[in-house]
Amino acid sequence: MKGFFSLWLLDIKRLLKNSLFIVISVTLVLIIVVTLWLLPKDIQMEEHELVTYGLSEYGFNEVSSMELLYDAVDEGGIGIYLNEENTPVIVHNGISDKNINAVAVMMFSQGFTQIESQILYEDLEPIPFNQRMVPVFIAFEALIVGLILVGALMLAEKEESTLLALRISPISVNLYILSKTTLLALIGTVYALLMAVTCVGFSYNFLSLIAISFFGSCIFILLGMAFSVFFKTLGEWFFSIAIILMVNMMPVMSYMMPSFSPDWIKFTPSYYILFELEKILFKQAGQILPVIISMGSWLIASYLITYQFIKKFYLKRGGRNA
Amino acid sequence: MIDVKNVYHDYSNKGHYAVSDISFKMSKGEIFGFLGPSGAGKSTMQNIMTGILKIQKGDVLYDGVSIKEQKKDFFNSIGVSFEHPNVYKTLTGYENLKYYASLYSVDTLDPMMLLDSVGLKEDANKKAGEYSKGMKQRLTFVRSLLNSPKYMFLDEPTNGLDPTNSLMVQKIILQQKERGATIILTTHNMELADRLCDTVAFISEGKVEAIDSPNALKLKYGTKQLKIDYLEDSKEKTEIIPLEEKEKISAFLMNYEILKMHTSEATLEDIFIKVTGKELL
Repeated sequence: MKGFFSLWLLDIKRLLKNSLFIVISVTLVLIIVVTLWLLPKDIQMEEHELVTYGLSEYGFNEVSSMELLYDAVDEGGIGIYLNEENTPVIVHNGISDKNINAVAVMMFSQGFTQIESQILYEDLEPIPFNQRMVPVFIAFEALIVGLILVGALMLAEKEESTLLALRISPISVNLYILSKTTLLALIGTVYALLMAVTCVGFSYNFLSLIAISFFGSCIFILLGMAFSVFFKTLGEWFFSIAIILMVNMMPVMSYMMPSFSPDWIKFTPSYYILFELEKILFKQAGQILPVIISMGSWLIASYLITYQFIKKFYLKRGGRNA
Repeated sequence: MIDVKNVYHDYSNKGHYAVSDISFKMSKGEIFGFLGPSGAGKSTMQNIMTGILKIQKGDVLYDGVSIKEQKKDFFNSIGVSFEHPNVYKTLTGYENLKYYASLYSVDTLDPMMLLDSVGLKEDANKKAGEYSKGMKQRLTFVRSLLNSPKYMFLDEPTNGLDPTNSLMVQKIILQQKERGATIILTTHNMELADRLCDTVAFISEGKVEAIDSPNALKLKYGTKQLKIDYLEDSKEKTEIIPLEEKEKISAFLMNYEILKMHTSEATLEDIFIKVTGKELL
């Protein structure tokens, strides 16, 4: 543990003297300012998946049970079913009046004269647009902070050749990985909490937010470490990581347009993190198992990959277990 | 005891050996010098011996245990001073030592005492990035002493040091030998090797060309000479004659007006050139 905390202290001191860390922290404050005061509150998502039950003749996406219809609404869609009086009921999760009206007009055009609106969770109010963007900012700014900083720290170790001195010290690969990952994941979690508290408030499950932020950060940091092994300069590294981050941001499209949710996009590490953040911050229901499976798989896979890369290419040594 | 047995290393795996069939033994408390020009294979040998480079062929045994079998704890028993100083530039000299000290699972020396021993106490709280090259070199050197290592690997430890600091470092190296440390000194500075080493190995193009104590090498390859400055046709001239050529010396003394003369001994550098046919650069 002595070595673990020493590495922590060392990296904290190095980070505090690193200009990139300051730039990232200032960016975080700017994002909070933009979210609170510059983003409008009354812009709603332009697209929701329309799901029907018992209305197959109208050619929408028909599901086979009310349960599936509610699941689709949980995922951000709009559900329509016929109640006992044969009146269409629009089920949603806090969408704007404009969108409800648009769906109603569509149903009137199909011959219905009366329409009801039902909010799936009655205590939910429509989410202002600026707050709806908070999960995006947390997933793609706060949780990415660690990935950027770990690259900066590792490339500085290469540049200063201090890496050589680490190779002939008794530091283990696990200790090296865990100390950096936990420190930077904590920083990412603090940033995520700052964004959540300042932009959304306090009415959500803090433990869940901390857990998803911490482990989400860990995944990105581990992937960042594995990636950084192969670069010599920060410039080369930034160019390549920017491409990877763009791919990782693809789930934003699904977030903005729930009808665009191809299977492949669910394999990006950020997909479940983004949607889970939305559920936590806006107290939406949903299944936790796919989130645990996805994040658990990414965490294990990224750790194993990083361990091998750090051992073979970074802290490479000739001995058996050295 | 260190036993190096027939070590080969080929970076390209195409039969171009950086080191080839290197063997030697070292006893506890011995200073062993690896002497050779740049690119001779000295650093490759040091990297193999410290476990940084995977051994491809042959073996290095530490007290009978192969480097291949060494575990993490092996690094608690070695200290390495690199040729090019490598320190955390944004940390102070003291923080650099304090940090590395905490990585060891054995008792370590007081960083301030170590800084003091190489004249860096006054600059202990200065960022290492602001140190001069010589100061960084001394910081890198004392870092290798933190864990009172059993085996020390010193790569050009006096590079970039002024004569005073160079003597200070040499004194500490001899103190470490007295303590019982086994020291591998890699250098192209033959005077330094002559002063400090019990045994030296001349390495050239990855091969050991000669290995023995400096005195034994001088006896074997060197000759004592007489340097005579004399006058011939009113012009000052110099002649160097091996001491064993007594008749030639006598003839010289009788036929010329001698200005001055003195004996000299071949240096390690002379012997290196004689043995390897190469200059030390």
